[in-house]
Amino acid sequence: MGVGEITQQIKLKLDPRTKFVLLFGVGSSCLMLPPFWLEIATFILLSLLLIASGRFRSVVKFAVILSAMISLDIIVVPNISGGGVSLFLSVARMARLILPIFMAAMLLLKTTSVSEFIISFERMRLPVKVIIPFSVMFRFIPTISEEWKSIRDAMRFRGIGISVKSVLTKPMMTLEYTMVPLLMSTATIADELAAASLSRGLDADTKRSCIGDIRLHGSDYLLMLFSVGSVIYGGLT
Amino acid sequence: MNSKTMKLKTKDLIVAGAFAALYVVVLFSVVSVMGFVPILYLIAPFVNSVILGSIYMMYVSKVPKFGVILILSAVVGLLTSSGGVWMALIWCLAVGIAAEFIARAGGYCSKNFYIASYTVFACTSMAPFWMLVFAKPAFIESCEAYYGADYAAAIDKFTPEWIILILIAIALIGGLIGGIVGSKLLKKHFKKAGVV
Amino acid sequence: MIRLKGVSFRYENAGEGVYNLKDIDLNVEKGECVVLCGKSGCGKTTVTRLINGLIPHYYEGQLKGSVFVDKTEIADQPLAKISQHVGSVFQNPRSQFFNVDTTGEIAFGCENQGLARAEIAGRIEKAAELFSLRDLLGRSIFDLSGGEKQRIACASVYAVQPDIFVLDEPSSNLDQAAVIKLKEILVKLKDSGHTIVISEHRLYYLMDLADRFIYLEDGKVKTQYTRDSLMKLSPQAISSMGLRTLDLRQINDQSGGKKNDMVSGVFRIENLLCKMSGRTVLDIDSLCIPAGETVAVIGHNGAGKSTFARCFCGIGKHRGKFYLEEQEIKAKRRLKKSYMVMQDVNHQLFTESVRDEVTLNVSDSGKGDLETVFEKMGIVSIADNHPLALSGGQKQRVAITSAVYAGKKFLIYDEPTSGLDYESMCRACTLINEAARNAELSLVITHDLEFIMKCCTAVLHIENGTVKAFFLLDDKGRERLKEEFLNIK
Repeated sequence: MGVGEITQQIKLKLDPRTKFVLLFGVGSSCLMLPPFWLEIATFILLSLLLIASGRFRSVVKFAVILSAMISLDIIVVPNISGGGVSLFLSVARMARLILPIFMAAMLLLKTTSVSEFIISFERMRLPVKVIIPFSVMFRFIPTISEEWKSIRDAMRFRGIGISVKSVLTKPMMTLEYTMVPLLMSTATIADELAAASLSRGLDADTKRSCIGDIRLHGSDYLLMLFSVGSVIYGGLT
Repeated sequence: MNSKTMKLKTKDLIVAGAFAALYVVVLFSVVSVMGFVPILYLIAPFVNSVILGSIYMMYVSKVPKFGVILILSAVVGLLTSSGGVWMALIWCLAVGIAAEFIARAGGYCSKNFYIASYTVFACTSMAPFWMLVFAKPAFIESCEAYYGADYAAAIDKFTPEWIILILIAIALIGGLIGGIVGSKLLKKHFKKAGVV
Repeated sequence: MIRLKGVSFRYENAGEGVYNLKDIDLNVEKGECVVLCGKSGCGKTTVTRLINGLIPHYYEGQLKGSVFVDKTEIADQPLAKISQHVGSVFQNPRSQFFNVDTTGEIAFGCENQGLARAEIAGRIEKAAELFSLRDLLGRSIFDLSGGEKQRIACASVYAVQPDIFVLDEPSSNLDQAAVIKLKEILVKLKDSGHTIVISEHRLYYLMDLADRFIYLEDGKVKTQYTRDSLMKLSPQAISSMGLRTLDLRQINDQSGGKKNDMVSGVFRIENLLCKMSGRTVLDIDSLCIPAGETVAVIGHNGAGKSTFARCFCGIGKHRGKFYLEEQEIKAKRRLKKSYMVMQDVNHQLFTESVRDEVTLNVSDSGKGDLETVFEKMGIVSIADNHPLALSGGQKQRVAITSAVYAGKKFLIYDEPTSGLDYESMCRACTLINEAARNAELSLVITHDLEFIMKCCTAVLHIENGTVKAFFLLDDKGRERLKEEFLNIK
């Protein structure tokens, strides 16, 4: 009972396929440099979707970043000139383009369970040789960041941490000390994970089912329409 | 090696997924640290190729079977193209097929063929930069509107179209180094310790 | 139900002619709970793998004899089929989850069988009800404690409705409260007629649950005990068999660790505050620890023990001040003087030989003779081996030696005895005590009462991010500690 269940009820349930289309659509349209109103519209839409999936805090962060970059454009740009500064500004401009892609990727990764990934990949008719590595990969990314934190700590205790200095003066040694533990734990965890999931029937010949209700609803079609629309609009202008 | 063990099992697919995760996490961390800084982005593919060599070498020696390299390239391709650069996917797959056949030519056990295979595969590390080619015209255009022609010209100067060839060359050189380093690392640590 | 007939097995990478299991005969009846015990490397994990089919279907090697489950031979069935009758829970909670969310994980086995959605939902409901997991549903696996993960693992196996449960050292990473919860789950499983096979070091929580104990030695079944015949053995006999205590109340080790008398003074910590993503995880107004002690840091999983240790050695972000003899020691300085032996020692092995590992990044000046240190820590024979090729216990020893040789003064151990048999635990004790002779403070994060009584000189009890108690392990302290452990529900 309690909070968990309630938040689950208000959470928006989108088909993973929709999230894929959205990511691709937002990505394409962003790289084609949408007009300001479309940029903002995309941002607001993604923010709403993220909030509906219980990611309010991240949305606040994104909003702060975006407004900072926009105000940089409005306040600083008219008053400066010169190569160095404009280079710096181009970075901010690039980052502004990437931001919606980042948000769409977050929506896909953080609100889709592994089992939903598998089922939607199956519906997209991808071969099993792509489906399993892909699903395992999504599960593994957080694992790697956990392992990495612990390895970085271990390095700091030995005084061999990664720093600009160590990368510049002893690049190969730094590479070795980072890679050996990282590869070792990836290999070990992968082996254990494979044993565990096989012993729970991942290999079965029967068609897999999914606890999540993966279907395209009205909202899914609307979002797909938006994605395709923004790409076409970007292509036309 | 007989045909039975050459077939990819579910176990291999899981290991592939794990190493693919490690591969893309490192790839995107480096790109996001260096990729946005002008000038530095030029060496990002190099740095990536060198670092990723160890992961690739460990990966192929854990699962020395036909198809694993292709799987890795598909994963890298799908992820880099998910931002809308469909060219990245085609690029990665093409590179992956080439690398797969080089490794196959070496019978999935030759060190030198693996290094050659990785040298080619390292070209995936510049896949995110196809964005430069595709997004640039629009980007320049909008810069002109926002910041004026001077600025747009400056940006244009820093990113000529042929830069993509330079990036590929850089990735290849990095790939050769990364392949050799990775192969050494594998021998020094994991073979010696009996892990692979 | 389960029948092993003359089974011998050799892992693919084991030495030529070295069998990991030799001629095992074993019968387990329906509804029985059987515990496999013995020293590390005796083959108990291998036996569990024979029953759940990972041998021969996953781990390759030479297999002789036959294994029957429910009258069908394991070798003739694919793993997916076996998984419907035999459910497995593994030792390491971090690597046995395929999903990133708890509900998905419980559903995983059923999804693999292609069960209908309503059916799966019903089974999740039932498992959550039985194991009281309601609060854990719909959460991210990565936010759970070890104990919670292990309960989810049991539930996900239960949802498939197998007749047999095979558990491989399920309590290794659990605190006392979580062990008790695990036991409750096992009792419920047994009461509902399931057959249970557990390989385990910690035996005390299984004493009023298990029907039989199979004692393995060097890959052979040495003796079989009933609960009563095992209970009749004296605590000394149990220890000499390499087994952990059968009853926490019996632990009566007076040896304890020795305080390092060479250092004097008191560590004083003031206004220590640590926040993680906005949540206060640690908030200690004031704490004094006499220098030279070996302090057991105890408390529930998630109480703030690791955070405290990380702050102490200056690696975790925090606010607050640390003093030794009224001299402030800043975080950077503390980090320089600290070393942490991690739970997963693999994370801290970087080089290609034990010798290199120990001397890594140690300046030559006045660090004492390398060979003497090797001798003292008992790693002379493995000095030229590759660290990654060593056994878990040996790796730990190398890590401790590195700290000693580097002259580190603050030594932190993160659950150094999880999954260790009695002998290895004693060895870890000796090492930690040896290392403590040159240290200004040793902190040991642990859930292991037997070990604390043997090794530590003081106890720091952390609960809900604050200090619940700090006391020295004199006679009174021992009684108090035992009392606290036995009263954990």
